[in-house]
Amino acid sequence: MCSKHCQLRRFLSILAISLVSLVIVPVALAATIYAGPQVWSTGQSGGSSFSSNWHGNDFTKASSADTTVTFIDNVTYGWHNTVRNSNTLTHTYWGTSDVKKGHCIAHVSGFSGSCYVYV
Amino acid sequence: MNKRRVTLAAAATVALVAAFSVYTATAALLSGPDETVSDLTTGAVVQIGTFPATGSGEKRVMLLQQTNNGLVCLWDAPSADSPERLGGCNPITDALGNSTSLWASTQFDGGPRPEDVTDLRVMGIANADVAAVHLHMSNGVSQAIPFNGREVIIDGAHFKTFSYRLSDKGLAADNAPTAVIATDASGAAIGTQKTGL
Repeated sequence: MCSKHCQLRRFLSILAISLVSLVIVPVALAATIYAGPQVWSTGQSGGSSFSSNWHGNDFTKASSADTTVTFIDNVTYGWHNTVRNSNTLTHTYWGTSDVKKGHCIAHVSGFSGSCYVYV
Repeated sequence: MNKRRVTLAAAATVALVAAFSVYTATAALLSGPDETVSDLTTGAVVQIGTFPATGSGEKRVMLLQQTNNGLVCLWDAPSADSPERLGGCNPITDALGNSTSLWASTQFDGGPRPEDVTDLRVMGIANADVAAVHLHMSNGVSQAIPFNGREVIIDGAHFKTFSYRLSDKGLAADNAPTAVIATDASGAAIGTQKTGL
Protein backbone atom coordinates (compact mmCIF):
# COMPACT_ATOMS: atom_id res chain seq x y z
CA MET A 1 0.00 0.00 0.00
CA CYS A 2 1.46 3.32 -1.05
CA SER A 3 1.57 6.08 1.56
CA LYS A 4 0.32 9.60 0.83
CA HIS A 5 3.91 10.73 0.37
CA CYS A 6 4.50 7.82 -1.97
CA GLN A 7 1.34 8.68 -3.96
CA LEU A 8 2.46 12.28 -4.30
CA ARG A 9 5.89 11.20 -5.55
CA ARG A 10 4.24 8.87 -8.03
CA PHE A 11 1.96 11.66 -9.22
CA LEU A 12 4.89 14.06 -9.63
CA SER A 13 6.88 11.43 -11.54
CA ILE A 14 4.01 10.87 -13.97
CA LEU A 15 3.56 14.63 -14.32
CA ALA A 16 7.26 15.09 -15.08
CA ILE A 17 7.28 12.32 -17.70
CA SER A 18 4.14 13.77 -19.31
CA LEU A 19 5.68 17.24 -19.49
CA VAL A 20 8.92 15.93 -21.01
CA SER A 21 6.87 14.01 -23.58
CA LEU A 22 4.93 17.15 -24.44
CA VAL A 23 8.18 18.93 -25.25
CA ILE A 24 10.14 16.14 -26.90
CA VAL A 25 7.52 14.40 -29.06
CA PRO A 26 6.53 17.44 -31.18
CA VAL A 27 10.19 18.33 -31.74
CA ALA A 28 11.00 14.77 -32.83
CA LEU A 29 8.20 14.86 -35.40
CA ALA A 30 8.81 18.42 -36.57
CA ALA A 31 10.84 20.05 -39.27
CA THR A 32 14.25 21.31 -38.18
CA ILE A 33 15.10 24.85 -39.20
CA TYR A 34 18.82 25.09 -40.00
CA ALA A 35 19.02 28.59 -41.46
CA GLY A 36 16.91 31.64 -40.66
CA PRO A 37 14.39 33.06 -40.38
CA GLN A 38 16.49 35.95 -41.65
CA VAL A 39 16.97 38.45 -44.45
CA TRP A 40 19.27 36.84 -47.01
CA SER A 41 22.13 38.18 -49.13
CA THR A 42 23.33 36.97 -52.52
CA GLY A 43 25.61 33.94 -52.14
CA GLN A 44 24.67 33.34 -48.53
CA SER A 45 24.09 29.68 -47.68
CA GLY A 46 23.21 27.37 -44.82
CA GLY A 47 23.58 23.71 -43.98
CA SER A 48 21.93 21.28 -41.60
CA SER A 49 23.59 18.58 -39.54
CA PHE A 50 24.36 15.25 -41.24
CA SER A 51 21.74 12.56 -40.71
CA SER A 52 20.30 9.54 -42.49
CA ASN A 53 16.84 10.67 -41.36
CA TRP A 54 16.52 13.81 -43.49
CA HIS A 55 14.41 13.32 -46.59
CA GLY A 56 12.83 16.71 -47.27
CA ASN A 57 14.66 20.00 -47.62
CA ASP A 58 12.80 23.28 -48.20
CA PHE A 59 13.64 26.95 -48.61
CA THR A 60 10.52 28.88 -47.61
CA LYS A 61 10.32 32.59 -48.40
CA ALA A 62 8.01 35.51 -47.63
CA SER A 63 8.11 36.41 -51.32
CA SER A 64 9.49 34.99 -54.55
CA ALA A 65 13.29 34.82 -54.61
CA ASP A 66 15.89 32.87 -56.59
CA THR A 67 17.22 30.06 -54.37
CA THR A 68 18.70 26.56 -54.46
CA VAL A 69 18.15 23.56 -52.19
CA THR A 70 20.12 20.32 -52.33
CA PHE A 71 21.38 17.38 -50.29
CA ILE A 72 25.10 16.76 -49.75
CA ASP A 73 26.25 13.24 -48.87
CA ASN A 74 29.03 12.65 -46.35
CA VAL A 75 31.13 10.35 -48.57
CA THR A 76 31.76 12.18 -51.84
CA TYR A 77 30.23 15.49 -50.70
CA GLY A 78 28.46 15.51 -54.04
CA TRP A 79 25.12 17.23 -54.53
CA HIS A 80 21.90 15.27 -54.95
CA ASN A 81 18.41 16.18 -56.18
CA THR A 82 19.35 19.83 -56.52
CA VAL A 83 16.54 22.29 -57.29
CA ARG A 84 16.81 25.96 -58.25
CA ASN A 85 13.86 28.26 -58.81
CA SER A 86 12.27 31.54 -57.72
CA ASN A 87 9.17 30.12 -56.05
CA THR A 88 8.06 31.12 -52.58
CA LEU A 89 8.79 27.49 -51.66
CA THR A 90 11.76 25.68 -53.21
CA HIS A 91 11.58 21.99 -52.36
CA THR A 92 13.63 18.85 -52.77
CA TYR A 93 13.31 15.31 -51.48
CA TRP A 94 15.82 12.47 -51.35
CA GLY A 95 14.30 9.28 -50.01
CA THR A 96 17.48 7.29 -49.41
CA SER A 97 18.90 6.23 -46.04
CA ASP A 98 22.30 7.68 -46.95
CA VAL A 99 23.83 10.06 -44.43
CA LYS A 100 23.31 13.56 -45.81
CA LYS A 101 22.76 17.18 -44.92
CA GLY A 102 20.40 19.76 -46.30
CA HIS A 103 22.00 22.77 -47.96
CA CYS A 104 20.38 25.98 -49.22
CA ILE A 105 21.69 29.00 -51.11
CA ALA A 106 20.31 32.47 -51.83
CA HIS A 107 21.04 33.90 -55.29
CA VAL A 108 19.50 37.31 -54.60
CA SER A 109 19.45 39.71 -51.67
CA GLY A 110 16.84 41.32 -49.49
CA PHE A 111 14.20 38.65 -48.98
CA SER A 112 13.10 36.95 -45.77
CA GLY A 113 13.12 33.21 -45.45
CA SER A 114 14.35 30.08 -43.75
CA CYS A 115 15.59 26.61 -44.65
CA TYR A 116 14.53 23.42 -42.93
CA VAL A 117 14.91 19.66 -43.22
CA TYR A 118 12.47 17.00 -42.14
CA VAL A 119 12.15 13.23 -41.95
CA MET B 1 4.31 16.72 5.93
CA ASN B 2 1.78 19.33 4.73
CA LYS B 3 4.56 21.90 4.39
CA ARG B 4 6.56 19.43 2.33
CA ARG B 5 3.55 18.71 0.14
CA VAL B 6 2.98 22.39 -0.46
CA THR B 7 6.64 22.82 -1.42
CA LEU B 8 6.45 19.91 -3.86
CA ALA B 9 3.23 21.21 -5.34
CA ALA B 10 4.80 24.65 -5.80
CA ALA B 11 7.83 23.11 -7.48
CA ALA B 12 5.56 21.11 -9.76
CA THR B 13 3.65 24.25 -10.72
CA VAL B 14 6.88 26.08 -11.55
CA ALA B 15 8.04 23.09 -13.63
CA LEU B 16 4.68 22.99 -15.38
CA VAL B 17 4.84 26.67 -16.32
CA ALA B 18 8.47 26.39 -17.46
CA ALA B 19 7.82 23.29 -19.54
CA PHE B 20 4.83 24.81 -21.25
CA SER B 21 6.77 27.98 -21.99
CA VAL B 22 9.42 25.91 -23.78
CA TYR B 23 6.76 23.88 -25.54
CA THR B 24 4.85 26.94 -26.70
CA ALA B 25 7.97 28.69 -27.98
CA THR B 26 9.11 25.57 -29.82
CA ALA B 27 5.72 24.99 -31.36
CA ALA B 28 5.49 28.60 -32.51
CA LEU B 29 8.92 28.44 -34.10
CA LEU B 30 8.17 25.27 -36.00
CA SER B 31 4.51 25.66 -36.82
CA GLY B 32 5.18 27.33 -40.20
CA PRO B 33 7.39 24.58 -41.67
CA ASP B 34 5.28 21.83 -40.18
CA GLU B 35 2.10 23.28 -41.64
CA THR B 36 3.76 23.57 -45.05
CA VAL B 37 5.12 20.02 -44.95
CA SER B 38 1.66 18.78 -44.02
CA ASP B 39 -0.05 20.91 -46.67
CA LEU B 40 2.12 19.40 -49.41
CA THR B 41 0.33 16.09 -48.84
CA THR B 42 -3.08 17.62 -49.61
CA GLY B 43 -5.01 18.48 -52.76
CA ALA B 44 -5.21 17.02 -56.21
CA VAL B 45 -2.05 16.06 -58.11
CA VAL B 46 -2.31 15.93 -61.90
CA GLN B 47 0.29 14.72 -64.38
CA ILE B 48 0.79 17.41 -67.01
CA GLY B 49 3.96 16.28 -68.76
CA THR B 50 6.88 13.85 -68.94
CA PHE B 51 10.66 13.78 -69.04
CA PRO B 52 11.34 10.97 -71.53
CA ALA B 53 13.98 8.41 -70.55
CA THR B 54 17.52 9.07 -71.74
CA GLY B 55 20.89 7.48 -71.12
CA SER B 56 21.24 9.55 -67.97
CA GLY B 57 17.89 8.86 -66.43
CA GLU B 58 14.63 6.93 -66.41
CA LYS B 59 11.33 8.44 -67.46
CA ARG B 60 9.97 11.00 -65.02
CA VAL B 61 6.75 12.98 -64.87
CA MET B 62 5.81 16.63 -64.41
CA LEU B 63 3.01 17.13 -61.88
CA LEU B 64 0.79 20.05 -60.92
CA GLN B 65 -0.65 20.13 -57.40
CA GLN B 66 -3.06 22.60 -55.83
CA THR B 67 -2.97 22.23 -52.04
CA ASN B 68 -5.70 22.84 -49.50
CA ASN B 69 -3.87 25.89 -48.11
CA GLY B 70 -3.74 27.68 -51.45
CA LEU B 71 -0.39 26.69 -52.94
CA VAL B 72 0.15 25.64 -56.53
CA CYS B 73 3.17 23.37 -56.92
CA LEU B 74 5.05 22.11 -59.95
CA TRP B 75 6.89 18.82 -59.42
CA ASP B 76 9.46 16.72 -61.24
CA ALA B 77 9.02 13.17 -59.91
CA PRO B 78 9.67 9.50 -60.76
CA SER B 79 5.89 8.87 -60.80
CA ALA B 80 2.63 10.55 -59.88
CA ASP B 81 2.44 8.85 -56.49
CA SER B 82 6.11 9.15 -55.51
CA PRO B 83 7.01 11.34 -52.51
CA GLU B 84 10.31 12.13 -54.20
CA ARG B 85 9.12 15.39 -55.73
CA LEU B 86 11.48 18.15 -56.77
CA GLY B 87 10.31 21.65 -57.60
CA GLY B 88 8.46 24.40 -55.82
CA CYS B 89 5.25 26.21 -55.00
CA ASN B 90 3.69 29.65 -55.27
CA PRO B 91 0.38 30.99 -53.98
CA ILE B 92 -2.44 29.97 -56.32
CA THR B 93 -3.44 33.64 -56.52
CA ASP B 94 0.06 34.57 -57.74
CA ALA B 95 1.09 31.52 -59.71
CA LEU B 96 4.06 33.15 -61.46
CA GLY B 97 5.38 34.84 -58.33
CA ASN B 98 7.30 38.02 -59.09
CA SER B 99 7.47 37.16 -62.77
CA THR B 100 4.78 38.31 -65.14
CA SER B 101 5.51 35.66 -67.75
CA LEU B 102 7.56 32.67 -66.58
CA TRP B 103 7.93 30.14 -63.78
CA ALA B 104 10.89 27.88 -64.46
CA SER B 105 12.64 25.36 -62.24
CA THR B 106 15.90 23.47 -62.75
CA GLN B 107 16.66 20.07 -61.25
CA PHE B 108 19.86 18.03 -61.50
CA ASP B 109 22.03 15.46 -59.80
CA GLY B 110 25.74 15.79 -59.06
CA GLY B 111 27.60 19.05 -58.99
CA PRO B 112 28.08 21.76 -57.99
CA ARG B 113 30.77 21.90 -60.71
CA PRO B 114 29.19 21.69 -64.18
CA GLU B 115 31.53 18.77 -65.02
CA ASP B 116 29.91 16.73 -62.24
CA VAL B 117 26.30 17.52 -63.10
CA THR B 118 24.16 14.76 -64.56
CA ASP B 119 20.57 14.47 -65.67
CA LEU B 120 19.71 18.16 -65.75
CA ARG B 121 16.03 18.86 -66.23
CA VAL B 122 14.07 22.07 -66.71
CA MET B 123 10.31 22.55 -66.35
CA GLY B 124 7.91 25.40 -66.05
CA ILE B 125 4.78 27.26 -66.95
CA ALA B 126 4.39 30.42 -69.02
CA ASN B 127 1.55 32.81 -69.67
CA ALA B 128 -0.10 33.53 -73.00
CA ASP B 129 2.36 36.34 -73.86
CA VAL B 130 5.26 33.90 -74.07
CA ALA B 131 5.87 32.71 -77.64
CA ALA B 132 8.96 30.60 -76.97
CA VAL B 133 11.23 29.36 -74.21
CA HIS B 134 14.95 28.69 -74.65
CA LEU B 135 17.71 27.14 -72.55
CA HIS B 136 20.78 29.34 -72.88
CA MET B 137 24.24 27.78 -72.56
CA SER B 138 27.46 29.41 -71.38
CA ASN B 139 28.98 28.99 -74.86
CA GLY B 140 26.32 31.24 -76.35
CA VAL B 141 24.28 28.43 -77.89
CA SER B 142 20.57 28.38 -77.18
CA GLN B 143 18.29 25.34 -77.25
CA ALA B 144 14.57 25.71 -77.91
CA ILE B 145 12.30 24.15 -75.30
CA PRO B 146 8.93 23.11 -76.77
CA PHE B 147 5.65 23.62 -74.95
CA ASN B 148 5.13 19.87 -74.66
CA GLY B 149 3.01 19.67 -71.53
CA ARG B 150 -0.72 20.05 -70.98
CA GLU B 151 -2.16 23.53 -70.79
CA VAL B 152 -3.19 24.25 -67.19
CA ILE B 153 -5.69 26.62 -65.59
CA ILE B 154 -4.66 28.20 -62.30
CA ASP B 155 -6.99 30.62 -60.54
CA GLY B 156 -8.84 31.10 -63.83
CA ALA B 157 -5.75 31.90 -65.92
CA HIS B 158 -4.43 29.68 -68.72
CA PHE B 159 -0.76 28.67 -68.85
CA LYS B 160 1.44 26.75 -71.28
CA THR B 161 3.78 24.16 -69.77
CA PHE B 162 7.11 22.61 -70.67
CA SER B 163 9.43 19.87 -69.44
CA TYR B 164 12.89 19.37 -70.88
CA ARG B 165 15.75 16.97 -70.21
CA LEU B 166 19.23 17.93 -71.30
CA SER B 167 20.68 14.94 -73.11
CA ASP B 168 24.22 16.33 -73.30
CA LYS B 169 26.42 14.62 -70.69
CA GLY B 170 29.50 16.68 -71.55
CA LEU B 171 28.73 19.64 -69.37
CA ALA B 172 31.63 21.94 -68.57
CA ALA B 173 32.11 25.51 -67.47
CA ASP B 174 32.13 26.61 -71.12
CA ASN B 175 29.19 24.36 -72.00
CA ALA B 176 26.66 24.61 -69.21
CA PRO B 177 23.08 25.86 -68.99
CA THR B 178 22.97 29.37 -67.59
CA ALA B 179 19.33 30.44 -67.88
CA VAL B 180 15.85 29.70 -69.11
CA ILE B 181 14.61 32.67 -71.12
CA ALA B 182 11.07 33.37 -72.28
CA THR B 183 10.54 35.52 -75.37
CA ASP B 184 7.48 37.16 -76.88
CA ALA B 185 6.36 36.98 -80.51
CA SER B 186 8.93 39.63 -81.49
CA GLY B 187 11.76 37.63 -79.92
CA ALA B 188 12.23 40.03 -77.04
CA ALA B 189 13.11 38.48 -73.69
CA ILE B 190 10.25 38.91 -71.24
CA GLY B 191 11.25 36.46 -68.51
CA THR B 192 14.44 34.86 -67.18
CA GLN B 193 15.27 32.20 -64.61
CA LYS B 194 18.92 31.38 -63.99
CA THR B 195 19.77 27.68 -63.79
CA GLY B 196 22.66 27.84 -61.37
CA LEU B 197 25.55 26.50 -63.44
